[in-house]
Amino acid sequence: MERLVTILKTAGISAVIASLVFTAGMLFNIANPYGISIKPAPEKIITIVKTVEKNGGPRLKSKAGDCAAKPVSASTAESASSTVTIASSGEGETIADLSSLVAPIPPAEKLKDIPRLTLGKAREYYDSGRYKFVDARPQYKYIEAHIKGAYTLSASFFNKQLPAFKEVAATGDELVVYCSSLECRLSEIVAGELLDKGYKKIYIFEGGWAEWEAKAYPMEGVKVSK
Amino acid sequence: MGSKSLSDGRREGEQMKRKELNRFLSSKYLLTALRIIMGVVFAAASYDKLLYPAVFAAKAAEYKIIPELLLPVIAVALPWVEFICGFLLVLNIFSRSAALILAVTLAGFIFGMVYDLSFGLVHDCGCFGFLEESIGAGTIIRDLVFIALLLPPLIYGGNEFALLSRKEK
Repeated sequence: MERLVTILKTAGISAVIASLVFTAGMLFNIANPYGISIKPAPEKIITIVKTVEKNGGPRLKSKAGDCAAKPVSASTAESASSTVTIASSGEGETIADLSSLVAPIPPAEKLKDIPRLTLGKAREYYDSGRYKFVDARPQYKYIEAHIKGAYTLSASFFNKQLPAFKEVAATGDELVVYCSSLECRLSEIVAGELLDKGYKKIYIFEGGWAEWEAKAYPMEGVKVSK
Repeated sequence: MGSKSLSDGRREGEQMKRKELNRFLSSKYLLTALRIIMGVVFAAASYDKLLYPAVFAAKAAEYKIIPELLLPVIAVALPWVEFICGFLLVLNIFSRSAALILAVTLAGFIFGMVYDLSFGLVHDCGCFGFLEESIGAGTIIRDLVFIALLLPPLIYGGNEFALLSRKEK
C-alpha cells in the first residue's frame, strides 16, 4: 500500500512538473527570436533578420523559426525578395508507408551521365543566376545553414517536399544538387529521383556544403555566423 | 536436515548480497554523483535545442513515430523537459519525479530509434544539440545506460523540495 502511494505520488508530481515545464517552454518560445509556430500552417514566410557582408556579397541570416510541422522548405532564388519561403502540403499524412516520403537509392548506371561540378564551376554557375541550387542534406542541416538561395529537397523527405519544389522549379530548369561533402551520396539519390520526375538538366556539385562553407561563399540559415 | 540448512545458508547469503546491493545503490554519495552527472548531461543536451527549436523540429521530423501535429509542440517542450529536469536532478529537488520524466523521455527516444532502424532509416539522433551523430546501436545502448543510471535516483531518490526540507530540519 505504501509503495502504491509512493508510485502515485511520484507520477502525480511528475505530471505537475511536466505541465509547468511545458508552459515554460511555450512562453520561452514566444520570447525566443528563433521560436517556431506551434500551429502547423500551409505556408509561412520567414523574414531575413540580419544581413552580413562576407566574401562575395551579402549573407543573409534568416529567421527560420516558422518551419515546424515537417515542413517542405524552399527558399526564394531571387535574393531581391529577401525572404525564405517555407511551405508545407498541409495535408494529414500517415507515416505507415515510409516509401511515400523517402527517395529510393538509384542504380549507378542512371547517375553516370549526370555532369559533376567542381567548387570553381559551382561558384561560376551560382554567380550566373541561371541555376537553381538544391540541398539534398537532411532538412535540419538546411535550416542551420545552406547555400544562399538554395532549395531544400532532402532524400529523407523527397516525395513530401517535391510538390512544393515543383512550384518553384520547372522541369526545364537547370539544377545543381549538392549534399555535405565528397563522401555523401544524398545528392546522387536526389538527382536520380529528379531525373525520374522529368528534370533533365541536373548537375551534381560533388564537394558540396563542406567546400562551399570552407570558402565562406554566400550562405544563409539560422546558424550562419554574424 | 543437512541439505535444508545448506539451502537456508544459500538463501541468507543471497539476502545479504541483495541488502549490500541495496545499500550501495541507495548510498548518499552514489545518488549524489548520479544526480549531478545525469543532470549536467541532460542540461547540456538541451542547450542547442532550446535556442534553435526549428533545427530540433527538423531533426525530430525524421523520427517517424512523432505525429506531424505534435511535432512543433514536442520540438519546443522536449528541450525544456530535459533542461528543467536536469536542473532539478542537480539540485535534488523532486529528483525522483525528474528521473522518472527523463527515463520516460529516453524510452521514447529508444523506441523511435528502433522503429526507424527497423525500416532501414538512419538519420541524425537529435539527442545532443551540439553533436552530430546518427541513430544506431551506439545511441540506443547509450540511452539504455542513461536509463540504468537514472534508476537509483528514481528508486531511492527523494521526492521533495529538498532545499526547503533541509532548512526545516
